[in-house]
Amino acid sequence: MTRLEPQTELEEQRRLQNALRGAFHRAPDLQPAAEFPDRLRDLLRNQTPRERSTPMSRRSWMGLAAAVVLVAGLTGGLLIDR
Amino acid sequence: MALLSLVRPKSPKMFEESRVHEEAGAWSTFEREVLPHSDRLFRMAMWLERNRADAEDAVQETMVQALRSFHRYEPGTNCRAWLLTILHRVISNRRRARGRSILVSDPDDLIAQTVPFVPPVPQELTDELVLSSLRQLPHVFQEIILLCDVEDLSYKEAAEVLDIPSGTVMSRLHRGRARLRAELAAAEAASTVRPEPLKESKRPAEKVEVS
Repeated sequence: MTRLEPQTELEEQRRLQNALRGAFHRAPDLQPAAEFPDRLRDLLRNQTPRERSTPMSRRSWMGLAAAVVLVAGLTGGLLIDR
Repeated sequence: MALLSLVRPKSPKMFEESRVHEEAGAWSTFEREVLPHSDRLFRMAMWLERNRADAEDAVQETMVQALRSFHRYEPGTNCRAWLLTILHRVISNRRRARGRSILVSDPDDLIAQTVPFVPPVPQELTDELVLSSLRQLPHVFQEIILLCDVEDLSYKEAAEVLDIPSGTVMSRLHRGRARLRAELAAAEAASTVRPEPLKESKRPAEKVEVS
């Protein structure tokens, strides 16, 4: 690196970073078409429920686990009785 | 009792109602937290793909994947970093499918290309100068500068996006910034050099006699 003071070096880097950020967000070539956000929103909203993931809720998992424990217990009890 | 209420099956109508309710809630959260990032995501995709149709496809695919895995998103974490991770994966897969991988076989080979002297940042930084200089850098440097300096991701977040160690992010960013400053200085020097007046060249070339 150059022999700039650390503070100056930091300011230089910050100035470049701000310039980069501004240039990137302003660049006309990089902007989405005006209708793109609406098109995207419609596409996502029209995803059918089956296409979207429908994870089981924690409550459902707990219910399932409880059912498995219950069945295992009953089966075990029946086997011991025999 | 509580256990029985957990096990008790819901009627199909109740189940459908609660599912619709959950989905509506998830969609409104998604709409509020994720969709506002679509513009930024598009700019990144456009920079990497250099083609509007490809960039739109990549953002759409990213958003669809984000919606499908929204249950894995942890509220309060950096949503932009999460989306950029998906976008990066989508674009990498698309490139691989097209057989247009631009991954460097060993990015650390680029150390050899690192400039030993880092010039100061030019006083006047126009948008065109900054972006054209960034475009001159190898892809790995462009990517890391965009993630850390433009998108303001932490080293850890950038490491997750690129699936590389944090240490590599730091060294790559350091070298990338140095290369960018060298490019900026070179571009500035090229633009300030004025060509010599052409008066002399209009004169017929003098004959030089060699004895």
